[in-house]
Amino acid sequence: MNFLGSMATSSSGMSAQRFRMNIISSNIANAQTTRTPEGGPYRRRDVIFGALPAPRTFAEELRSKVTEETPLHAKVLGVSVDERSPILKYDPSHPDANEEGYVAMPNVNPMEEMVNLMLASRSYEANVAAFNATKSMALRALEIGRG
Amino acid sequence: MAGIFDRHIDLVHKSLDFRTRRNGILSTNIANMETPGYKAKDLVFENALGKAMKADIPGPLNTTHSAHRDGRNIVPLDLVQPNVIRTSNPVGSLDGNSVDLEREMVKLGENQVVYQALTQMISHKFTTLRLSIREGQI
Repeated sequence: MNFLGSMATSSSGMSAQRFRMNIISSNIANAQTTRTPEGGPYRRRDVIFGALPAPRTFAEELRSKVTEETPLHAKVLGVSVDERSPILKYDPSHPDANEEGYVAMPNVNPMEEMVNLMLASRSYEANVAAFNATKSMALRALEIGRG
Repeated sequence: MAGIFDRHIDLVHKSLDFRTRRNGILSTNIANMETPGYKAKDLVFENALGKAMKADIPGPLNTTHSAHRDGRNIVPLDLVQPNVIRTSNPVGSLDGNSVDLEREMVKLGENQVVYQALTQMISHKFTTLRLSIREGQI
């Protein structure tokens, strides 16, 4: 694998984590949302990560076969909807309250979201560190034979 | 290799190539640190490389022809290839992912330092050669 390949791998990790951060932000932003286009309260969303072989050109595809060393890019395969039931809160004055006075609130736990946000942010940083390591190595290689 | 470029340049070239490939593997591990079922990998090389450096030393058997085998089963330097291994993680996570971030970061740093050392070594080699070509004038 060359340096550009390593950089592409790190960037795949970064974009996957950034996508996850967007989803977490949406969960936090909608922690009190009781009306959605699908009806009912907002449901917590989560990302599904998968490792896929790096995209290659046709020529590369012809020349090489998939080996243990083929870089696997971190990709978001999809977004899952959390099926945990909504949290019922007693608030008879709420316009969305049922006959008994309970409101179905989103199944979002702010603590859980914050922990996931921190995890995503740390993973992003780890990818940045890997990228910087690759970059400094590539720059070092350019210095060979100078001075 | 004969002439002014000796075997050390070959060796450094092999090592730099190995470090580059290892950097790619470690970057893949870090990018997939939260992918369920992903297994951490690593590249190993150094033992085979050290052995290959001794490929010129004659073995215990006498040979009278270049095609004869001398009893030392050593792969020559230009044919040595690093191997991809799966690293074990005793405290793996429940989703089947075996990436240990701290270990990967340490390996990445170590890899970077050694790469730097190798580039300095080869640069120094070239500087020395240039110095002798110019008869000591800088």
